[in-house]
Amino acid sequence: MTADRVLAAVLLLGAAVYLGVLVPEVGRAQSALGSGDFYTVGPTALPTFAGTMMAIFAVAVLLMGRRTAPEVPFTQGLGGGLIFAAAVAAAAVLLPRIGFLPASVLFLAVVFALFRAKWWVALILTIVLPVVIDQILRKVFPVPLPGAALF
Amino acid sequence: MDPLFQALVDLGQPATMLTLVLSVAIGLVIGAIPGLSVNIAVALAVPLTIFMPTTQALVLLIGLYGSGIFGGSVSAILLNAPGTPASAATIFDGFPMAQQGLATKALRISLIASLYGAVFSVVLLILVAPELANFALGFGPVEIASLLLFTFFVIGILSGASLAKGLLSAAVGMVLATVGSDPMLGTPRFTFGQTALMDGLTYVPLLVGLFALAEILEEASRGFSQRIGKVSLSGEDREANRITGKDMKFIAFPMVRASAVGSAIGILPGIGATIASFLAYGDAKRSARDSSRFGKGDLRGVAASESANNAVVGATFIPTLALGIPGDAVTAILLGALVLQGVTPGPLIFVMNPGIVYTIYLTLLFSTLLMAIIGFIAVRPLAMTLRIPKIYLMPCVALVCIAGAYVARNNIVDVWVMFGAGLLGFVFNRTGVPVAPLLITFIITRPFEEALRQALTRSEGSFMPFLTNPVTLTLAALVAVFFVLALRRDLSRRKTPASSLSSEGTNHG
Repeated sequence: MTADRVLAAVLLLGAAVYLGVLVPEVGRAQSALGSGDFYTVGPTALPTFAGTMMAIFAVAVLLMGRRTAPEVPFTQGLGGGLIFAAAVAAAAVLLPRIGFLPASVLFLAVVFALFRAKWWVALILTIVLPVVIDQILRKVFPVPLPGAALF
Repeated sequence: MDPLFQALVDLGQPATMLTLVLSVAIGLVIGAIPGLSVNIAVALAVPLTIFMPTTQALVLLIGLYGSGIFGGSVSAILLNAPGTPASAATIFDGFPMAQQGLATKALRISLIASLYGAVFSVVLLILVAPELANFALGFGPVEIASLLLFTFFVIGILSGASLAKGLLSAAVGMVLATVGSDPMLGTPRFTFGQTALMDGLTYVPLLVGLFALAEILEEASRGFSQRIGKVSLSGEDREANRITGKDMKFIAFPMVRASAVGSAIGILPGIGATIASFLAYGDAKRSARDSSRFGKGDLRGVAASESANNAVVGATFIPTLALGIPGDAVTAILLGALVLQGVTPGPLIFVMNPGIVYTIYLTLLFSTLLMAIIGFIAVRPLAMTLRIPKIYLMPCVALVCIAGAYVARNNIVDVWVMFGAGLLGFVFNRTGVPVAPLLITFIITRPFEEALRQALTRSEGSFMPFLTNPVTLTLAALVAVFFVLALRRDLSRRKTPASSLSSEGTNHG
């Protein structure tokens, strides 16, 4: 089974859960609140339409996927992408806990080490870039990033 | 004060002028670097615009958009790798010219053609958009809902290589847009008790993830190339690279035709600059008396491709401004940025915010002229940017993505939304599902729901107002025609690689 058909199957399953569980839940919440005496279209109308569209087109991709299979195999080089995604996820976890500066220094250091960048360029960027981003956001646009617990 | 004069005064502010110069220069550089597309540049700039006045925000985004498309031709000509997919057709003749020692000439022809195409489409925008908006002012909820549903289908049908995948992407965008409070009654929908989701999935992290992080993950899967592009213009014969009157006469007709093709494509939602440049290139080749030089370094090939992709820029603003329907992924981002500024694009913008409309016109013109000046002077320094290895560039951009997603609302949930959108964009790119329909549908779903529910509430649930409305019926007929044509295309294809046919709909340009 090609990757696009797997994606379509997952989205079809998602549409089934959305239409079968989540949308009725919204309907029940609305019924509990009531909508007065006047006629109104409820909050489940559009979700029902959107979920149905998603299910229909997921089935269409499942049926037609063979004709439009992607050229690049889905798994080609996937390891590199997953490692980088894990680094981003780790940075997101650390951001509110240790602050932007330490989290971003760690993020860049890990990524440069894993992807074997030249050490001296990596060192300069790892130290300078987080400080530059932090200062631009603090001084030019007064937006503080999460505070640095270690600095 | 007269809105046009006010727009000129606002643009003349030192901070705004500086933003314009910087955005055009940065757009040229980002467009030139393969792997960093215009979409990424504009997506990363949106979080900053939240803290800017409207004029400055527009200048930043439009400056990046206009110049980024031309920037893509630099690497297309010098490296045989387009900086943005919109410049892919420029390779056919641009790279052979570079191999013949005519890289500077190819770059300057590309610049002239880009300038012509951009000005052509801006003039068209100024002439057509107010008329279209004037027509649309008479629209009620039935017509607005029909028009937005038409956009949903057309974007899904025309974006990307597969009808089903384009429509699936659009449907996913619609489902994602239903998260948050219901726009009529305020009922929470799919928020799972999270207060941060009451306003729905935030637009900024979604687009940063879909366009920027997804592309970085793709580069990571290729191991971040450490190769330095070998580019040198120093040994070229200056005389041979001079552009003569004869050259200008030679490219004049293909430029006009290509600009018309690009503008026509730009007005239709969801197709975009890549398809426009390929169509214009094909048209220039077909209409040439002697087409034997095409593909071997013909000036007309470079001119046609570049005129067309830049003509898309102004034309995409016609549906965006007049109808509130984004013409492509970048105008979808711009439309979202305008909404963040409290301005709602659509026919009323010409009545309520004429100053914004004039600002957009003037910014498009000024950024085009500035692009021509900077591009002409800085062709050689621009070529040097191709030497930056991706291993240093991409992790730095990823860090900007994380910071950009966070600052939109100072909320860590948005960083996770960006992360999820990045993974989704990566999977979509890998499976040949275009990303642009998702974003465009995500943006138009809320106004669609409001109009649909207003119309149905007024008719007490009856669909008769839709079935008897001439605008609705005309749009439905158009969707049927597009659908049949796209279905025939899909069915006639035995097994054509989706990625080779991918258009704007993919995560690129």
